[in-house]
Amino acid sequence: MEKNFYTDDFEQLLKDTTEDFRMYPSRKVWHSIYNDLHPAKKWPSFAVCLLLITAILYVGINNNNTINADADNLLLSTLSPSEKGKNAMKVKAPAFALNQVSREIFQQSPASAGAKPDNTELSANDPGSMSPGTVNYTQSVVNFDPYLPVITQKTVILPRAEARELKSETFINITPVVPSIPDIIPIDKKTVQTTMEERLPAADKTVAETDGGAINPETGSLTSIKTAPNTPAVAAVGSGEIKKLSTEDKTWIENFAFHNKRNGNKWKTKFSTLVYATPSIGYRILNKNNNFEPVNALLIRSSATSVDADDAISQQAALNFESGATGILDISRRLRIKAGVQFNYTNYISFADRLSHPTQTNVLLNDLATGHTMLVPFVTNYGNQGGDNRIRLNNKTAQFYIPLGADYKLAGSDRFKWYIGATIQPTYVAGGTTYLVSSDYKHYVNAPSMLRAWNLNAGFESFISYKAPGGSVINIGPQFRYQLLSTYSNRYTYSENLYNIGIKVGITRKF
Amino acid sequence: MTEEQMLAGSVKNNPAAQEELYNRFSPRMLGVCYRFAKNREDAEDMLQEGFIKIFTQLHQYRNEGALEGWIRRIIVHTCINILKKNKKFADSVNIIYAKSIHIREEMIPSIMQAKQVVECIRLLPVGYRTVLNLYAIEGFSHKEIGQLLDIEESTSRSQYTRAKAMLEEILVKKKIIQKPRKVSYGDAASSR
Repeated sequence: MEKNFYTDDFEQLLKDTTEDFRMYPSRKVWHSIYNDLHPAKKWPSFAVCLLLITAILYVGINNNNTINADADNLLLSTLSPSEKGKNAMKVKAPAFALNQVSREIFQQSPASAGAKPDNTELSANDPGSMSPGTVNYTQSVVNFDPYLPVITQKTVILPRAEARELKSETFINITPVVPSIPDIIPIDKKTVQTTMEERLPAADKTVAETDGGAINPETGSLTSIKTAPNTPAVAAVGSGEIKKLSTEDKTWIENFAFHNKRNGNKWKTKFSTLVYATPSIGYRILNKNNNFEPVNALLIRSSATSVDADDAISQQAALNFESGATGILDISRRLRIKAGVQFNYTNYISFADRLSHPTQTNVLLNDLATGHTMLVPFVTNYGNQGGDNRIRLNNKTAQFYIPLGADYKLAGSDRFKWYIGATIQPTYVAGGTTYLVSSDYKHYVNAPSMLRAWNLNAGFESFISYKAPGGSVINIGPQFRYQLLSTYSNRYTYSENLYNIGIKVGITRKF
Repeated sequence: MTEEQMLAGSVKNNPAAQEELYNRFSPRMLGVCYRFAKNREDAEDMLQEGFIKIFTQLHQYRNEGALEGWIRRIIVHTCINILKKNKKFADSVNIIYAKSIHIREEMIPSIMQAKQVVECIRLLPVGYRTVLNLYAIEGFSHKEIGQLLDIEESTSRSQYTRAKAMLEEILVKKKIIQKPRKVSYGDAASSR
């Protein structure tokens, strides 16, 4: 049957048909409306954010972190003839020389400890004692073999020409000069070990579109009404009439739809990924870690000072940076858990003086095997007594984290949400440069081998998330992270806990 | 709760009254939004924004006419305002000849008649769909549509004529209606 559509008929048809059309919104729509109409007091969080941003800007502006003095630049191997006659003899060496020696000193294994002491450390000696045309080197040897003297110094006098081709193997005719501090460390065959580092073990919504149709009482699913041309429903439409459901049917369908959610891929809707970056300001807390008994009280006293380390060291916060990616799984409307990977660069600054020549100093270390403290000599180019050549030492580390934690939504509408979150972060310290303060606080010693490889951090954050029109969610808010274990191994007599405060900026995408 | 109590409570920012009002009108209003929106999620966004406007402007309601009509008008305006934020919409509503669309059976969910018709309307290009919704279902005149969408009144008429023809074709293909009068996109004219 052909039906001619006159304008009024068609419009009336559409109007009547769509009049009965209803959809039931998910509850989150009402929650969003409610939150918008009845906002919670948010000024405390804004005040904290403002304070943090101001503090970070203040520290950042005052932190002119342009000078990066690194012990790797210590020069040891090549003599400069033009330096002749000067009080300070400047020597040049391969960039790794001092670090390498220091590392070897602390990483000597028990197996190799029994061998002849072959870890040598070079330093320019007092030029006044040199004969013309020769170069006088002092070789400091630290030996962890309990059967051998702990510390000896040996002097090599070489012709200047040979000194230019200086290599560690050329030290043949070594003669003991100063058997310095020979009795600091007890020689105990049974208890002394050369363990250098204690490492931690690697650690809707109700969906209801209802107006009619058939409900399968067994499966509970809506099924379609096939409107074949000859069915009465089609005929009714064709004649401009719409078949309407009874009130009872409508009520039943509405109730059914309201209490039966549409099947969806829950995993997809609940999972999202976050990529983020956090510029921050990093600093440290320094505490004593030497409950060990000094071996030689007199020596320890003479070398150590009673001044508190924090007062003796001049240091400053520096810019840090971290970035990472996290997977987030919604557990409930407010709670979500997250896990990911993260890279972090930490840094703070110690103020030092570049010494005119390498100098020997002592660092107080714990002997974990014997329960005693001991003085271990190092050679350094950095003093802490004030001088003309002030420099900044960057105490920096590169770390990889596995942050594991949760976020909790405090408030928010569909567009804006306010979360707080916390993470625990098993950490691997890939490397870094760290400066130990000497026992008398007069020098800094570069000893990267004292870095603890595995660590643990805890992070706390509060952030606002904004759902952008494109579907991405932008997160921004303050973050505080605290390093739970010391940066150094247990051997060092101070423990250092790094912390930083920053602004985390991230983008979340739903899967 | 009577409508008067619900209204008075909502004006006083009473959450219970506001929720009652929302529960009473939101299903039908979401149906309105769904006809304008690209998908359900967008429709819920429109609904949310619309109800926030409703609650914040409820004190302006003077009991002149049905409350549902007043709410519906705000919802429709909200939908249009949201659509207008999209540049593609502005382009689409000004294009008189929409690209032809290939209608497949599976594109239209066969759930029920009202739902089928709405889904057919949603198959139309956004410009056509909006004009058709406003004119045929919401009862706006072409002059009002022109002002609302920032287009010429004649453009609205043309859009509607073509939208109507296209919708008829879709409805026939879906066998929701039987063979309508053969209408080519160019010769139908609106009388309003």
